[in-house]
Amino acid sequence: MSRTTKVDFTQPPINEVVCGALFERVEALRTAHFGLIWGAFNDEFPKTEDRQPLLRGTPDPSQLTERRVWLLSDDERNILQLQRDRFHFNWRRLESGDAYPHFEAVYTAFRRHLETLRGLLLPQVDLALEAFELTYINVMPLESDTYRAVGQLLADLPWGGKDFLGEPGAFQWAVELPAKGAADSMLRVAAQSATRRSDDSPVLRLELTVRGAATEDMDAWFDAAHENIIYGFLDLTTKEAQATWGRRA
Amino acid sequence: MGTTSLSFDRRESGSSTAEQVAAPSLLARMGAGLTMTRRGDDAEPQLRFTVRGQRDPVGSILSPAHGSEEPEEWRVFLERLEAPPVALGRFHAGAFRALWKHLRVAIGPRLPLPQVAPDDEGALRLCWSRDQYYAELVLHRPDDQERCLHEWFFRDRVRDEHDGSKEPETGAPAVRFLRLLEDATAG
Repeated sequence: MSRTTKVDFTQPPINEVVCGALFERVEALRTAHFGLIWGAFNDEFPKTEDRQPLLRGTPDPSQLTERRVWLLSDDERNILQLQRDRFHFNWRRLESGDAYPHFEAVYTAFRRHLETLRGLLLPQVDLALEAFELTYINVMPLESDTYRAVGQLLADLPWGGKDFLGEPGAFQWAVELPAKGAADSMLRVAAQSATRRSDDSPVLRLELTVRGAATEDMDAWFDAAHENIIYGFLDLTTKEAQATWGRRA
Repeated sequence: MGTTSLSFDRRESGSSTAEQVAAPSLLARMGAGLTMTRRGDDAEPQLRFTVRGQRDPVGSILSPAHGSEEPEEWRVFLERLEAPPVALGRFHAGAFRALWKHLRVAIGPRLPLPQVAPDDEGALRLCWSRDQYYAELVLHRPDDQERCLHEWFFRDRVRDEHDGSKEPETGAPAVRFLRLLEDATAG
């Protein structure tokens, strides 16, 4: 299949899409400024939550005052995450009937909000972008809470009969590969068993993240990252599972 | 970073070389500050927060009014797509509502409401016209695979430039169209 072919599912198992930019820590951003920044976004993001910061490397004392703020849309499906060294835009599915807005809309929104943030900080601070990040989180129901059910979804994780070990009840699996078409970037794939809180049913969580050095052409980087995730997802999942998600191309 | 994801950030942090800014200059740029006011000698001091010339009590900042709601008429229009006079099929109507949500996520509440009209083949045509810009998005009727394909067209009348999809597409409108539409509808 040509990679120019657009892949589409009627019922994609996507639970969340995150576009992010990491930048040199802006020390001058104080707690009060976070509130002021919210003022520029609160038409679309009228709710806020405080979250534990995401720390890079080994935490040092200067990071003890780090903070991460969530700005949420009224329906809480769209989230801006702001920290002194990162900015993320999340779309997340809260109900099974939520239509996935597709990468194009999520990325356009991320880019728009990042430009708004940069405009607010200029001319005092010009964000020095260090890395970009694109994450897709898929949540797939499992037929049972046995490992064997995972093999129905992921092509590379069959579990043969083990006389002594039997079947694992829970698992985690992760690999990293160089991302194609995006220099200095890696695709990380992580799968783990989980339980859906709403009905206690077993699910498989499959997370694909491309992270790499920021480039001048942000559009091109995210296009390449998106392609790695889409075609990586197709490589990883079984055709039978793809059919149940309504693959049409 | 996902809202439920695990952190796996193992990159070493680069030491910040960002130019230090004095907080007051950023505050001044945003026209913001905190002031204490008294209504009278016996009144409790009231903390007020000002942003861009607004003066609101803290309580309203904690529960801010927001301007992202769509007009009631538009909401009703979206809810009644299956009913006359629009009378779309259920799948077509669902695709239209999803498309509108995609546009709202991408461009936000500043996206003006489009003119919407059905064409002779049962497709819905969404049009925006502002200054020299004209943007159009056509949502076709479902095909035999239950896909509602779409096409887009954009024209800058002053520069006499135009752009568009070469053939009907699945999924969301292209980033290129969303960017053009964003620029064309920017206040």
